[in-house]
Amino acid sequence: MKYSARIYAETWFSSLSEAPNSDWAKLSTNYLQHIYRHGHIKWLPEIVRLIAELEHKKNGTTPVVVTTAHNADENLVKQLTDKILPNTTVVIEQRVDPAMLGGIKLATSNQRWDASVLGHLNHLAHSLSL
Amino acid sequence: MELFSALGIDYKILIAQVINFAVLGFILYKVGYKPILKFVQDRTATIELGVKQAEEAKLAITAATADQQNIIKQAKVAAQKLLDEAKEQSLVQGQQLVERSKVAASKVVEQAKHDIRLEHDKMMQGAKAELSELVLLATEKILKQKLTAEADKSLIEKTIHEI
Repeated sequence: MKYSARIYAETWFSSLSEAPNSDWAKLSTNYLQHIYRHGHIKWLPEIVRLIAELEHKKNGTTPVVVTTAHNADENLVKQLTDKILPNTTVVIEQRVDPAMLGGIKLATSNQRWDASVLGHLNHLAHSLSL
Repeated sequence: MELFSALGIDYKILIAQVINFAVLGFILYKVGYKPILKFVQDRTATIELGVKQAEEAKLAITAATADQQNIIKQAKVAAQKLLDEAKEQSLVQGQQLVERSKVAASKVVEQAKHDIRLEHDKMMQGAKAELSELVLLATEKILKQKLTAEADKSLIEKTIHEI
């Protein structure tokens, strides 16, 4: 059988969905041992990402990463996601990155929205260097 | 007879001498005259043949000389023609060479101009990039000091409001 990160993720997610919560630890241990034995442990980050993607797909949610330079108010973040992704059930992950200087940045699996000060400065620097 | 005696001639000796002379003449005619005549005739024929051959040779030489002159003349004409053609060809080739050299030189100049333009553009781009990086660094430094959490919150609110 030809393995891939997607096949691992789909079978793992399927097994977890069908098994009761009490069996999840044992099941996951078995999968991890199997992946390790076949020398595919380097695929683990991708497998985890794909499982999260399948979970969001199953639940009809969209994972969103919101990054700010300082701790942002949750209401502000909610306002932003409502405006940028209307009619979408989002699962927000907030991150703080002081290198951004200020402003806010939003990312889904297929979209990027950058209103950070660093992003503006980079854009300006790019325009100047052209 | 007496006359002969008076003259001191012995007619008997004279008759004998006449007979001797006749015999000698006959012998000489038979033995000497014919071969000599034949030899002379042969010799004459040989000389005439020689003369004839010499004349023929002279004619042949004259003809050959004429041919030779003709050939030399033709060769001279051909050589002149070749020389003219060679001159013309060398002239054409020379012109072509000059044209090619001009084109090559023009290409070299164009390439040099192009290279200089590229180098200039590259330098300008480098300078711009460096300048923009400096501006970016300076701005970042200032903003790090000036952009407080409160100011950042206001900025985010403003951004959301403008969407």
